[in-house]
Amino acid sequence: MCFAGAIIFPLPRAELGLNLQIYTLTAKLLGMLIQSRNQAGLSTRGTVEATRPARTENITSSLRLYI
Amino acid sequence: MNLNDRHSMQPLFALLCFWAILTQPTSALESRNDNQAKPANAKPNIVLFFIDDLGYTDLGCYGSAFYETPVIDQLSKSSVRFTDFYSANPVCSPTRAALMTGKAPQRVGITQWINQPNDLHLPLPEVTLGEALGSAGYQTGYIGKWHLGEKDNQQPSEQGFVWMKSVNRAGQPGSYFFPFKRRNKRTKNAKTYWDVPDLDDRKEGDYLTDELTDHALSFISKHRDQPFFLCFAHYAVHTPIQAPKHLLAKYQAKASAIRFSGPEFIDERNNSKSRAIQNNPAYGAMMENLDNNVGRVLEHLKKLELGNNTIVIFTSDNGGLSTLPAKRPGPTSCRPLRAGKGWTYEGGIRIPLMVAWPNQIKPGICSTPGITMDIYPTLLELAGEKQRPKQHLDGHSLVSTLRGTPDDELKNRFLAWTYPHAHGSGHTPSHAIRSGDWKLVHLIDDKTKTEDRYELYNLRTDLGEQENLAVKQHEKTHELAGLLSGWLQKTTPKK
Repeated sequence: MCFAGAIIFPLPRAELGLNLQIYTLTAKLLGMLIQSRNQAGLSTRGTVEATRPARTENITSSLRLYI
Repeated sequence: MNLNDRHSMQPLFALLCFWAILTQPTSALESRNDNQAKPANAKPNIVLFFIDDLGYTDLGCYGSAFYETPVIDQLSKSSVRFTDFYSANPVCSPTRAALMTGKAPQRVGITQWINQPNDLHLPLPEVTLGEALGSAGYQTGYIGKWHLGEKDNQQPSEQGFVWMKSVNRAGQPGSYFFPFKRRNKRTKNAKTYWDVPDLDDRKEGDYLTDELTDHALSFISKHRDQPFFLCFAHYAVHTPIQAPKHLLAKYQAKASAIRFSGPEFIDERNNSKSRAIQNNPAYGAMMENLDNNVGRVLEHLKKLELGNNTIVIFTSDNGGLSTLPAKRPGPTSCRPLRAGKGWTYEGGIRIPLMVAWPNQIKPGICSTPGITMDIYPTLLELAGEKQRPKQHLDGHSLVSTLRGTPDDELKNRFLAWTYPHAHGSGHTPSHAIRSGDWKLVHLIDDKTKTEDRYELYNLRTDLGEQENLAVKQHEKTHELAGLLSGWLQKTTPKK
């Protein structure tokens, strides 16, 4: 219970109900489970690969400034 | 049979009448105009424009003053335009899975965009929207970005779309210009996941969005006499941000004429920045080109006299790319919404939705919240097909609200999201829920702190999600946290 209380922020401890602590833990654990279920090969740290423009002969250098 | 024998014809006539009554499709909407009535057995055609990374404020009819989208703005005037529609997820693959299945993305195991190479794909046993409409007699076609599996047996053609064109194996095109491939020192001339197929006969300078529209016009012409469902999943306006050259100068001039006194970028969590104003000329040119091409399809429908019997839906897969780390914000701005693609703030998930069906759906503006999963049951109902509640588990038909009287489910339900991954935009894992005017964001793995964090916003008074009321309104925080927890338990597969 102390652990559960410690991870809740920024709610003051005095206002924390048992339900919220359970909700928080449940949501956190399910989030981790869903993340792991997303099958192998996906980075959980993220990457900017998908947001980088490809560099081709058709894109002018000036356009690269806009991304 | 002697055709002049009236008595022998009577049973046949009665049988034909009975059959005609049985097969008469139920009109989805009450406001049917008899002058526009279709033949008894004709189903409406469906054209679904599914735009990539189109932000909530990227259209004139949704508030853009920089991008010129007159065709889509005109479409909005003949549509029900939703002000509170959401993508199922702040990134593309999960939302695409939700569109195809009517399920929350976590139910099919796709909660992150799919990088390559990867075995992750939309499970084949799912009865996709393409399969459901195909079994209802529709000719089904798919053009453009799929991003739900890169192998041959994971393509739209294996998921209910009999006809498909220019579907590549990645989340963006290699290039918007011919030959639509990545050409650099690393790839040389090797085949890559980003290569857009079926356009080898084009020529230097040809632009991808124009060429995809050519495919669309061919498909529509070919199936003009049959009910068809075309899912037109444009690659635009995803990166690479590459402008059609004839439109670029216009937007460069517009951008340089902007007088904006505020900061061009807004600080976001995790050292990210969001673009504060829409002023990217290349992105503007891509938007106008997209608008032109939507117009080509609409004109073609009109020319073939299919306009009155075609449902046109226009939406996006997630918010606009606005937020990125460090000094490199995204190409568009989603203001007044907070952040953009990759975030569970409004900028990442609130998107345009327009539904048009001349003489069948009365145009207007709708503030009933909706989400990607709703499109599946909505289209089934508009097509006069039975719902498939065991398939579209998390979607609810929007037809009642298209009629102007949202049913109790649409009025009372909550919408929720899980994106338990980091994203290149700076996002760290989070869940979110919206119920009425209230929205709770649960940051479950904030790398800058060791604690979880709840943020509660009132969207009616604080659309930009600036004032965190989680402590002040702790009862509402508890309530929404409970709903969110229950939703996650309900929608997370048991094994």
